[in-house]
Amino acid sequence: MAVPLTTTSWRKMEQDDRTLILAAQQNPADFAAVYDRYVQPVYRYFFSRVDSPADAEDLTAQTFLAALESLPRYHHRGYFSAWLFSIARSKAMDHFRRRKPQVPLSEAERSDEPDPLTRVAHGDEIARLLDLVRGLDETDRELIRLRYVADLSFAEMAALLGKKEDAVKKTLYRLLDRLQNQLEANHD
Amino acid sequence: MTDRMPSPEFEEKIRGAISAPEADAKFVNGLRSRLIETAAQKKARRARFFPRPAWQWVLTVLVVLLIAFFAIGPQRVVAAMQKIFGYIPNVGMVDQSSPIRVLAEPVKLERDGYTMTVESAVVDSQRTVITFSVEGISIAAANAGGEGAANCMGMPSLLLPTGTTLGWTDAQSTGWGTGYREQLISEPLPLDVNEATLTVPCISDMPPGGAPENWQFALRFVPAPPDMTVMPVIDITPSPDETGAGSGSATEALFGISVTLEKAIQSENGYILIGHIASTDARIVVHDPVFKVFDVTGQEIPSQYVDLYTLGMDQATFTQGQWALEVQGYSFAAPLTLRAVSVYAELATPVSVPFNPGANLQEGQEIPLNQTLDVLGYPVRLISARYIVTGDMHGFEISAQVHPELESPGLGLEGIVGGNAGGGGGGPADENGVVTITTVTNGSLDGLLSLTLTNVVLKGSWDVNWTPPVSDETDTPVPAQPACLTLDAWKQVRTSNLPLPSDLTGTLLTMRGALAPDASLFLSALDGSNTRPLVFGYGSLSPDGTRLVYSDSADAINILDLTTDLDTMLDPAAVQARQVVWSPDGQMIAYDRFTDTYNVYVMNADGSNPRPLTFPPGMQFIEGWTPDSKQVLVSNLGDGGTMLMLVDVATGATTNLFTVTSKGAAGAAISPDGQWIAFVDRSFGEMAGGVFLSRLDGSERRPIVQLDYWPAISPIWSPDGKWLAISILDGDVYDTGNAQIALVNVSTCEVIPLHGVEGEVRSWRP
Repeated sequence: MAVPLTTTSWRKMEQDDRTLILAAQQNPADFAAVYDRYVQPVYRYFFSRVDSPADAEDLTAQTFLAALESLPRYHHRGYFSAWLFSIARSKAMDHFRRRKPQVPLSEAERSDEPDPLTRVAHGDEIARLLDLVRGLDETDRELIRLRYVADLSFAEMAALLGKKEDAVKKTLYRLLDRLQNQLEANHD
Repeated sequence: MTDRMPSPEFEEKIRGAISAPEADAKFVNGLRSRLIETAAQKKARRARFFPRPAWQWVLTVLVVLLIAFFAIGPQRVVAAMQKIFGYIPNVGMVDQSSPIRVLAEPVKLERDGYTMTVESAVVDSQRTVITFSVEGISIAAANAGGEGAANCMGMPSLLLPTGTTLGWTDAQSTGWGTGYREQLISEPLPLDVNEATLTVPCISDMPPGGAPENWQFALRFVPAPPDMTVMPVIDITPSPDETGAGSGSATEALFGISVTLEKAIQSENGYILIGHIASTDARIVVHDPVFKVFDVTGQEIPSQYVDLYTLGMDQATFTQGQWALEVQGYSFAAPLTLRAVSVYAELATPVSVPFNPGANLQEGQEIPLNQTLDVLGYPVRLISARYIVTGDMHGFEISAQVHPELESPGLGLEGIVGGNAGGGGGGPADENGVVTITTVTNGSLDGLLSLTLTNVVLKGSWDVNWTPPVSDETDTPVPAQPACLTLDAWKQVRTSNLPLPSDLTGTLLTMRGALAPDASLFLSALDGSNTRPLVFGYGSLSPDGTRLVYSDSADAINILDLTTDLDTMLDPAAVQARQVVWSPDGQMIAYDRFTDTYNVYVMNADGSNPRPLTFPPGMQFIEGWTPDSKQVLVSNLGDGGTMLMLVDVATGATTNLFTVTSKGAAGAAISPDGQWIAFVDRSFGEMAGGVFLSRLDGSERRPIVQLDYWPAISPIWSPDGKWLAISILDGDVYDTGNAQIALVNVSTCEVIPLHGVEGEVRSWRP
């Protein structure tokens, strides 16, 4: 009898990635546990980049299918989340590349297409904050996405971005400090 | 400059401003099903196909049509004739109403130790399907940029002589450690174009400059040869003998659910059946049926799910409720009955109750609920909610008693402020019909909350019958030999306190999940007494059980004297060791070591004379030793599965044994008398690996433990060779933690569940 695994439990969040990954590497069906753990952060990350549920779903599917296929080659040396999000970032870049092949990526991402980071939000302060975020360059916006949309830890972000954890933390905090100052200045 | 720490309030503003919604539950569940199906598909394709010359296929079609004419009536035969599709294994369905073209010959390029081969291409009126493979990938090179490196993400392109580039509509790939195979699908090559250039800009997952880039292949397409393997596709319209009135069971018409069969494709294993499940009940949308297949005598026929995406069907035609199932074999006591025993149902109108957990929640606090949801006429009684905190998330474990006709209720929290909710899937019920559903959030639970049930699995019995064409295949598999231990039997005995036979003694070394520096290796007597945590790492016991060899958190090899607790590092330099196994004579230690990839090394037990036995680019893992300590048992990961092989320690000579489906360390052990090998493999239709026993050449194979979707891993022999210790993971929950251990007598099939000992057994010493 073929039975799909339907059980989910978030108690597994207490489990260590390494155990999950090793299990999935030995038994691909166990990848479902990895998927359960990361599907929402990955989806939110994509939605924040493409602002389209359909595209976010497509990219999420691409990411997990690619991760499943690449899992035998994954060697656990740090944070699985960093590896997974490196795939996600690649898929996002492919997406922009395919969608706007004639426009350089940087320009595509600066285009007038509604990036969720530039969506109109409720409330003046939030709207002003969004305006400020809109003015950030892509590197800074990515930091914010990874931290506050994908909910990655500083250590995971550091592994993903190839930087030291302290450096990532310091960069983000300076960025937030700047945003907060600008927000307060505007408010005044 | 002093950096100001952002206030939590400001971080919350940022989080709120850029918040993205949760993924839709339907999408999440659908992708989950697809991933599980894809995982199941990772079973190695059987090497043997049934090639048919074209003339033979024509005869077969005629025979099939004649049989179909008499068996299912002229209307359906007409339907079948209207659409003559064929099925090419590993390519999918092809339209044979127009010429099919294939790659004139494989094209191989070798550069700097990497080999890329365009293996095949098939062009019909619908698609171009190109398959290429890559070998020689160095894991060290792939990881050179670190886990966050921007590795290869370039898509291959197919350039026509006209200057047009064909876009890809789909791509799939599968890997095996040192290589991968990728299938690219695009729109069909124009009829007047028989040449194209495939450019692969870089090798997948390699960092920039880490491997040769910009691979170009000049492809030439020719008409398909007459001996190309093409399987018939039988289009069945309308579906025969659908479930419904007259089937005699009240449950069969439940919820207006019907199962429809639409296509049958002869495959290398048997038949792939494609159909739909749907409901006329406006309260639900159903999909993802779980099938059992029976012949007319009631014998269950092995079956497994097939990813619709691999069948080459037009994805635009995919609909909710569509399914594909492969049955094993060609000749059956017909008709076959495909019985959906459960189906996933989404509620058109979710049902909910208000939930006020109150303020100042304490971890572990139980909140009585005592409310009942009416779910499609069945009661789901919400008993209580227990407040839990996990990392930066918090939420509830909700106990609910569900009606026996339901399972896996999807219950979630609504009304959360400033955060995202996760979880909500209910597991199987315990013996009292109570399920535990965990739902957590990083938001506030202070608002007006509700508990909302959006989906549930309906149990029932929905049938569709099918009579396959009379087959000319003569090797229909005989029913599989039953395993010593099945899932039903294990569920019955796992909690029982069966006494250990008096001759069953010894000490087990088990490995549990742990984070360094916590111990992962434990010593225990069989009855669970004298459990002793040792160290973190992989390891095995010396033959006399007095010492432990292990790879520590720095991947260095150590020996721990279990009497004196003296811990000695064998090699001052970290050797990137993973599994380490002591030889039966105690003289040597074998281990797998990560350098450019995983390879197997041996050294003397004092750490001297370390040397490789296998070499890159292959990926090999140590499994164990032969009883004479002259050869090591190695699993060699490769294209199509894992080869179990013996490597002579003195000469390095390799003897291939047989292939199993695992992708990685397979889990295998040779019996103390050297006559048998116990190993993990997966059978057709089984979601998880089981433990099998065979001679070293793979003959006399029989299942020892086969637990459907519960994985059985790491067989270890008892010192007297009569028993196997097998570690079993609970497939119904992911947070089972450590495996439970079953002892199975390989001669009598007697099963003893161990209590007080858990984890993956690594050694069993007298």
